[in-house]
Amino acid sequence: MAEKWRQAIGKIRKGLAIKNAEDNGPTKKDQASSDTLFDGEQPTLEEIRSWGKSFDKLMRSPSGRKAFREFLRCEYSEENILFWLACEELKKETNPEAIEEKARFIYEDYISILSPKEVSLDSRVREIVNRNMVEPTPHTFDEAQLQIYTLMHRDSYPRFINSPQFKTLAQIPDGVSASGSTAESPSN
Amino acid sequence: MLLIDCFRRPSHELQARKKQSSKEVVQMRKLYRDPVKVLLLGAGESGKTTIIKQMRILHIQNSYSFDERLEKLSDIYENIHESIYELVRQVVLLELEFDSIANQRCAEYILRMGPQAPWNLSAEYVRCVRRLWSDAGVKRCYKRSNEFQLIDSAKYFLDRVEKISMPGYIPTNGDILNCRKTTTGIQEVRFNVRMPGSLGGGTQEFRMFDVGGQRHHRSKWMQAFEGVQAVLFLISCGGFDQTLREDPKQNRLAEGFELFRGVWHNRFLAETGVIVFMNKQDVLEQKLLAGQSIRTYFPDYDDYVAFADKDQLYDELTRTRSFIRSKLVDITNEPPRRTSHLVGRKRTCYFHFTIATDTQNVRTVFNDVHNIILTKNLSKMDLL
Repeated sequence: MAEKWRQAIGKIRKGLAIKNAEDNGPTKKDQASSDTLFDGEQPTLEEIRSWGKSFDKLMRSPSGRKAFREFLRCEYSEENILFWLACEELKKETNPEAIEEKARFIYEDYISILSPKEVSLDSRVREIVNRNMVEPTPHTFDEAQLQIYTLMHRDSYPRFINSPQFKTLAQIPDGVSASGSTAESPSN
Repeated sequence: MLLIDCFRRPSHELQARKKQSSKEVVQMRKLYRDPVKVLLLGAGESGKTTIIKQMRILHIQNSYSFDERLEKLSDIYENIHESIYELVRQVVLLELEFDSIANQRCAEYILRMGPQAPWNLSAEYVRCVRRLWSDAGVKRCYKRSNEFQLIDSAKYFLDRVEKISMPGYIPTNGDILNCRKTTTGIQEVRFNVRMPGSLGGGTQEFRMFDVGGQRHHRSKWMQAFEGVQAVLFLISCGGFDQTLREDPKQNRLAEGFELFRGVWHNRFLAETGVIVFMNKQDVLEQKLLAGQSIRTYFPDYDDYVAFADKDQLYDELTRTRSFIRSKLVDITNEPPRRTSHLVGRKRTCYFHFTIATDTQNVRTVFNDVHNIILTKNLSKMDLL
């Protein structure tokens, strides 16, 4: 019985081109049948499931961010993750001229009220950003980035891990909670 | 909850569906049994997502599973912490004083935690929150909460912090309904509603769309306009003395009026039924009982009262409600901005006084909404 189950799981996994942690890297055959969602490095099933347990883990994983971004596009809130990613890029920048330019682009794309991709900031954070823009640094958007991170974490993320899309990826049957909250009931 | 399932549908298929749907809509309306598409619109914190939650409670069996309820705990902790943190911060900013040194220490403890909510409610945390919530300085601050941004559910959760912190606590429907969380993007929820026996019984599928309400989200609303049979427009009557989170210079109720004008006169919604939920009647009532008046923010209230029918509008709450409604009715009577083939056609706008967190109230109002949609669809069949 256990063997049969393992085989069945293996088949499904192949179909999704998700490899086990203990498996070797994806073979050519695997890549040919690869789900279009992930190109390049394939996440392990274990990794995918860890996305359901922690938003930080999801956002730290490139393929996790990709899956989440696809989901946000469906809900018309992709600008949130795009803004977050742009801020991450800015934080890596060391050249002062490039910092200034990147900061302006981020401002025009995601902060300016004229932008169709404007993100949801309260007036307090908006003021901080406006003040910082006088002399942009790699950390000009830190408060705004945190606010958007929290927004995605609290609003979009719970829907993501309960979505059929994520459940398929993580091979969790319908009706079962992806966050595994039963395991940590508050009576413990 | 079902989501917009666009992962699986190839984009060319979506395009084809778009083209087809305008033709389909005509046929669909003849068949009133087909899914009813309803769009929830309104400014931020007007109660759109709360209506979605009520639809789940009223029309979906086992609407919130045990697991889902537990998942809500972290949102509830966020609400508790956001409320007490902001109140304590404002006590300092408004130069109010705490009752005692001990309470002052509790305040420092909360402020040191920063805006991030704790993972669990420790005994020390709960003790501090309770002390502060009964502190006279914090109470004075709470009375002035229209001067800063405080969530409407602050009182609800701060009153219950001890109960909620008990081991094994499971959030109730009331907790879920009162729990505030900013919505981003557009989501869909589907449910079946029982049809009246006079129309042969059975059930009818509803697809309700929830959107983010803050200003910048509004450009996205158009994405959900197609094939919509009814717009439920929410306006927070309790927000008459508050300003917007995204713009501290704009009055929330005034923003609601502006937004309603935009929705009512939107040419893509010209044939869509509009039902207005004049929401947060409970908050409005509390504020009026506390001695506040809409007159401070809308000076034309005095003119309205001067000409009002004294027999019908006998108390302040009734007068205030009617005043807000009359402002909305005035908007529906304004000439349309663009000339179109619809000029001259009489459109009816329906108004309801609502408390979105009250399941009984929403049940009654939703029955009316369902009837309006059914009647409208039936009369359209005759028109076409």
